[in-house]
Amino acid sequence: MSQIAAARTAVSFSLERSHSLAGKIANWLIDFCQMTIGDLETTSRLHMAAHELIENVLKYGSTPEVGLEFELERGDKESIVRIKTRNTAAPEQLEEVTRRVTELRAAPDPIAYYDRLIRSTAPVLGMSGLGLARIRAEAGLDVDCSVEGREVSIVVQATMRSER
Amino acid sequence: MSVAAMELPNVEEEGLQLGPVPGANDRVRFAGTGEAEGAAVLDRFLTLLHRQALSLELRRVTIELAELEFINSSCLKAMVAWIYKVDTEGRPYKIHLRRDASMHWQRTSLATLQRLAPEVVVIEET
Repeated sequence: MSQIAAARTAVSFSLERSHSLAGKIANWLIDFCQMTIGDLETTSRLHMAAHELIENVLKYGSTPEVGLEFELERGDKESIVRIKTRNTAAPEQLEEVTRRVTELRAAPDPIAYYDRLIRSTAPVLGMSGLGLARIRAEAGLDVDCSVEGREVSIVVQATMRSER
Repeated sequence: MSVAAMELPNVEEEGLQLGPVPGANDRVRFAGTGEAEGAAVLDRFLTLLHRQALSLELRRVTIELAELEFINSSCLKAMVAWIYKVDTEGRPYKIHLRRDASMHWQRTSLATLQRLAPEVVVIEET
């Protein structure tokens, strides 16, 4: 854990791509969020996001190691909290996640987009493909991604009014 | 007239606890946490529940969710598939979801399920 500056708190993990470890880290991360943010509602939204993001890196990551970061930037008027995951993936997965995030960000109504996605995938067995849309629609968080080489980073963030 | 009770197993797997509510013929209880590995467990249970509800000609099925701490999108998808099936195959019964509104995810995710099938899904407060 590192305290970078008075206005910024960040933690970063590189971890083995294992379900049990990632789940424990996610729960710890949420406890850390609760401690630093002190806002139960935002913490609940981040809890949903952390679990969805971790499921994605476990499912689509192609190497044994994945990255997970939490960052809080406190400003005078507002604060920004971010959760970021990082993993390598097969080229078709990189293409697919970029397409999904682009589509999601372009959707004027995230809830309508999510509802359409749910309806279209409801009869399809197996894979959900709902995680990122759920983060956007249900948790109300911004979702973005960037690809560099074979590595994809997904960032979700919430902006909160500062209390100080 | 007595109504036959559902014969469902008590399942405790992959962080989920699923089972019938003792003494109630149309009520089941979900508890725990549903991660990706829990999706198949939930899917199997919902398939059994659907069969039982059809064979007993139930008009409603109630799911007690107050002790369900969280489910991720894989488990949510299992519920979506079940609700979609009930909604598109003649709506033989209604699905009552009893939530704990103090949990943010229950407020948002159950509203999502209701938007999927407003004629089938009824949300109740515990």
